[in-house]
Amino acid sequence: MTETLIQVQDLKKYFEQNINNQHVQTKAVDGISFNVKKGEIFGLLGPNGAGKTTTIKLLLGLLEPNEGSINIFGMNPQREDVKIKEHIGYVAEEPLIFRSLTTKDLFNFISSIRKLNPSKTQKMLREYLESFEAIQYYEQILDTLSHGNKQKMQIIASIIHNPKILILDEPLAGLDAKSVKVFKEILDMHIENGGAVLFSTHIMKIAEELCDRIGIISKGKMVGIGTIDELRKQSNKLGASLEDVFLRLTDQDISVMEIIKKLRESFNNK
Amino acid sequence: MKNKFIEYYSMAKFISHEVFYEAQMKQAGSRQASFLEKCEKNKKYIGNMVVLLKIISSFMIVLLPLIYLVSGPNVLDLLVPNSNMEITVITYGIIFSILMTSYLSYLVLFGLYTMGAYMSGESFYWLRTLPISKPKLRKYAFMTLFRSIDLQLISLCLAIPIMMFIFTHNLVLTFLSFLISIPNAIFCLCFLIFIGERVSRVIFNPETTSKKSTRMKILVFSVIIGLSIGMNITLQLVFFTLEGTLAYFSLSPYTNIWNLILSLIPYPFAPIYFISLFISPTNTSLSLWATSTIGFLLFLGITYLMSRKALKSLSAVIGGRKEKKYKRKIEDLNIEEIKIEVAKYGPIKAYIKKDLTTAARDPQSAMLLIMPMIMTIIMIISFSSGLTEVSDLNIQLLSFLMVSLLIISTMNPLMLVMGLMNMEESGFAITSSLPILPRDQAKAKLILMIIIQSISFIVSTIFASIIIQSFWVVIVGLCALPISLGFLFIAFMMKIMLFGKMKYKYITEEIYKEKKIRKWLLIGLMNLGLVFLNFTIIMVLASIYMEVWFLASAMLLIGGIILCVLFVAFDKMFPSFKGYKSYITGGSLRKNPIFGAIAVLLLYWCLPFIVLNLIYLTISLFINPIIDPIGFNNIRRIVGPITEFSVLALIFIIIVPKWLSLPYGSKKLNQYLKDIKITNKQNYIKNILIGIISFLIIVFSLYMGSLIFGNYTFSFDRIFHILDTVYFGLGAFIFLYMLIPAIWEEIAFRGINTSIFKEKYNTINTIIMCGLLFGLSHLINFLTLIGESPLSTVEQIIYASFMGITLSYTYFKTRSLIPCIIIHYCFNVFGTLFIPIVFDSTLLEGIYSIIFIGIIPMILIILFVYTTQNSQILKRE
Repeated sequence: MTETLIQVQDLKKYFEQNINNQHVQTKAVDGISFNVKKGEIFGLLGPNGAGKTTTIKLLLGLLEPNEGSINIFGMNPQREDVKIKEHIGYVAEEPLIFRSLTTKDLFNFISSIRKLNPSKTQKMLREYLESFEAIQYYEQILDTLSHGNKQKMQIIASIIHNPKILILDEPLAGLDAKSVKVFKEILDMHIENGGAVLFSTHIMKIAEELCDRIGIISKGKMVGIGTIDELRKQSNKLGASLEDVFLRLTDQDISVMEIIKKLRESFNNK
Repeated sequence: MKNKFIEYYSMAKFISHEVFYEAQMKQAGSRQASFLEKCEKNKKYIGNMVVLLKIISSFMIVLLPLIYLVSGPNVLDLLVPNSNMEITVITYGIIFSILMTSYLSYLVLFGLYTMGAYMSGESFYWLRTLPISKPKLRKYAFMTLFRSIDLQLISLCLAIPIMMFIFTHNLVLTFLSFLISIPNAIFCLCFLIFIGERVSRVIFNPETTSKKSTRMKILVFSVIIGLSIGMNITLQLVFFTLEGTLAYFSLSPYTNIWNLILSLIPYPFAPIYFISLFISPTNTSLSLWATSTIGFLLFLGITYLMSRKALKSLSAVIGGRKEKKYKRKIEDLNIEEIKIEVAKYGPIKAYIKKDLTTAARDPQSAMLLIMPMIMTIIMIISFSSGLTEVSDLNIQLLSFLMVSLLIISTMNPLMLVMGLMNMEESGFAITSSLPILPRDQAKAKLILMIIIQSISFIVSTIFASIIIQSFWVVIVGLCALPISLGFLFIAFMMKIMLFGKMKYKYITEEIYKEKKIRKWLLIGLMNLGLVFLNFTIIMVLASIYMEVWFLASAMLLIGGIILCVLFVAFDKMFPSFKGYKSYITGGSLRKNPIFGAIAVLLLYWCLPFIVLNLIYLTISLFINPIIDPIGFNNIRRIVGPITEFSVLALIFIIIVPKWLSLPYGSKKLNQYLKDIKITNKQNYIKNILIGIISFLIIVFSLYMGSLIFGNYTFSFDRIFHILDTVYFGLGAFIFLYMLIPAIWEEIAFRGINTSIFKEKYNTINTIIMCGLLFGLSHLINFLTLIGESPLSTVEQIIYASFMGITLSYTYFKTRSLIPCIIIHYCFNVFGTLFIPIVFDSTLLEGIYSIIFIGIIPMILIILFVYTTQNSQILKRE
């Protein structure tokens, strides 16, 4: 019996948008339920704009759900987000990590807010920076770093306090192969120590390789959930790749075929 | 050829927009996200901004100096050619050189950023990936430059000729000055290109990260801000002191030597000297001709050299970024040498440190923090002439307070809140994942803002005390400091309430970004309104007792009260961690009915009082109540009840249901009317009858009592006498004055208060408490005491409590507010009109009013209502 760390029940979030002076309600998240248990990597997979990032923001208490409940360590992120965040690491889609601070300032700020032990953090930080080969940027202003380096800093910021849950929104974007390898090792260690990971991505290969269980989101709804084998069963495509399963479950397989056909025709007619 | 030109010109539009976008992005600093948002919302945003900037800057170039020039004393007279040519020439030389310098400064001011972005060459990178030949690319680049500042250049060419024509009406001079305007425009453009190149190196080069470059960035920003603020003031000062300066030069025995020296200076003097000699060519000395020709030729030569150099740098722009050699490459850094140190502060200190570091490296934020101080000093100085004109110290102090309070209290908080509260945007990923208590965050921001606000306030006080030359200013200023901090608090909290109110908490980040302008306007107006309210209070106090120490201590008291209230509000909005778990925003008034009732009562008493007095004060500006007391009173009697009625309507239709969310949470109007039992399902005819009969019961009791204890005397004379002096006629009395308490008191005490009490207490307790509350609320009559003795107010409190119980009971039993309103209304109208009773002693009057207005009607009406409602229940069964 493993412990459930994140529990999401029937979550709904609507946005009011004003398009051409008409109020339009978009259902960013439309009734999603899933659990993340201790010691597993749960992948949220979905096409662009499916509602992954909104779900993650709801988990962190950055947005308020219209309906449904979220439970992290038995607490409600809307009310007790501060307590929850003490044990969470978060990597956002965009590395928005204070443009005008240096790496040093950033980690001073983080360790002060998190009330970390300075000498211990110092050691950890050095190790992480060295293993990501980013130590030479320690005194640089973050804005001048490349996207990949910013992403590295963000990843280090999310793991420096040994969180119980890691919430990662497209964390591998912009990382080089070496850093990806390092990061995967870190994730493995994290899982071995009894942590949990919620991993959102739209890249199939990574999901297939890393995740224990996968939830496929499409248009704000969960269209499939389970291990890869279970998903294959659900989509009646035994032995198929995750890509095919994904396209099947998100009802995109037929439209993709049509698009490809059209493209080929126009290309050949040239 | 012409078509080619148009083709290049129209193509340049896209590149110049790109350049502008680049410049704006850099300028936005940490507010890039909101800039992008604007672009996203309005597809034409960039295009519109480009055009707007062009128009504004050409307006500034052509018209602004002219306005200052014309508004300066006697400048136009000075320009009339003098018989002494030396004096005429030096006058023209100085005035037009000032103008030319101001043109150049405005061009630099408005074009600097765009030019910096242009010179960085980033906008041409993508063009270079397309198959375009180098010469063509160069043409595009040149066209882009031209298109970016075309309007400015044209206005630059026309500005001097226009001025010349206005001043001299001399066509030859106008034409000549047009001729020299062209090299002048080229000169200015080249100057701008050189400065733009320097700026692009500092700001737009992504590789410059050193501390030196940060310092340079701040320097550049300071120069821009200083120019933009300083230009107007400098121009104003220059033109105001112009007469004196010119008088000095023209009276000096060395005028001709001055002329010779100045005419040799190639820019800005030589060209102007050269032209002004043509005013009267034969009348000038040969030596001046010689020197100004030399100076002019020098100017042409310099312009030519500069244009050659500028062309070179222009072609370097499309040639790509020059590789710069660093002294030390990042790869060469010795990893072992890097010391990793993690410091640990408290969360608030860490937050302040982070904000300060951000501000130091992000020039725009830095400016928003420094601006309040600069603005304040500028304001005080520009008002200084007004301050010193008045001789009375008290009035000086008052006007100082107005200036400083108005500016510091409305502008600075807005600037500070804008500057400090948007710093998190660029660090969203970090702040959203950290366990930061909103309280710590808000505290950190507030501490910084309070420090800046206080400094700017105190600095302005010191400046004003130097100008007025009285130490009292410092004391008054320090006493007014709490008020100004109060305004800061209000702006800060309103911003959070409007932008960051979530279900369970308030947060300092912006999550509701829609209707931004409206919200900011609301914050600004709120502050402005409060400033005016504050003024009114000060003015009223000053009219009572015009003494410095009195005003100062009154301000200190007001400020202290405001700050205390705001501290409590802050604590409610941002509870400490212990109080966090149980904390839910809203509903506290509903959960503590006594607070709710007090809030409603305070609103009921205070808001109409404040608004009425403000209106009376405004009226008294037009009709002096001392000179024309009758006219003033007449207007007062009409305006008073109407205002009171509408303010109360505002309170009970909007403020109480929407803002205080009483009695059952924020509801729509029709649901609210149902909640307070006006439009709920009920038998209207029956309830109206119940109201009328209950009133008749009261009349019966009153009449019986008067027979026993006093003498019932009725006379029409008395009625109309009262009505005319106090109430302005019978109609107004019946339909306006008496409706106010009948409707609004019933809604307040029955509709809202009983409903919220009922949520917590049982029915009997609720009825008794609400009755007592209704009685006690007449305590306010001690304050107003309209022709009544204190004893009669005590009587009123007692019988009103019984009356309150009666009405609450009726409200509960009938489930309708209608009978209550009818009883209240009839009692007020007919009680005043038809029941004047004369008593032998006050004791008898007291006994009478308690027993026959209070207790007997209470018992009878309760019995009556009880029977009517019970029979209904029987019928139903």
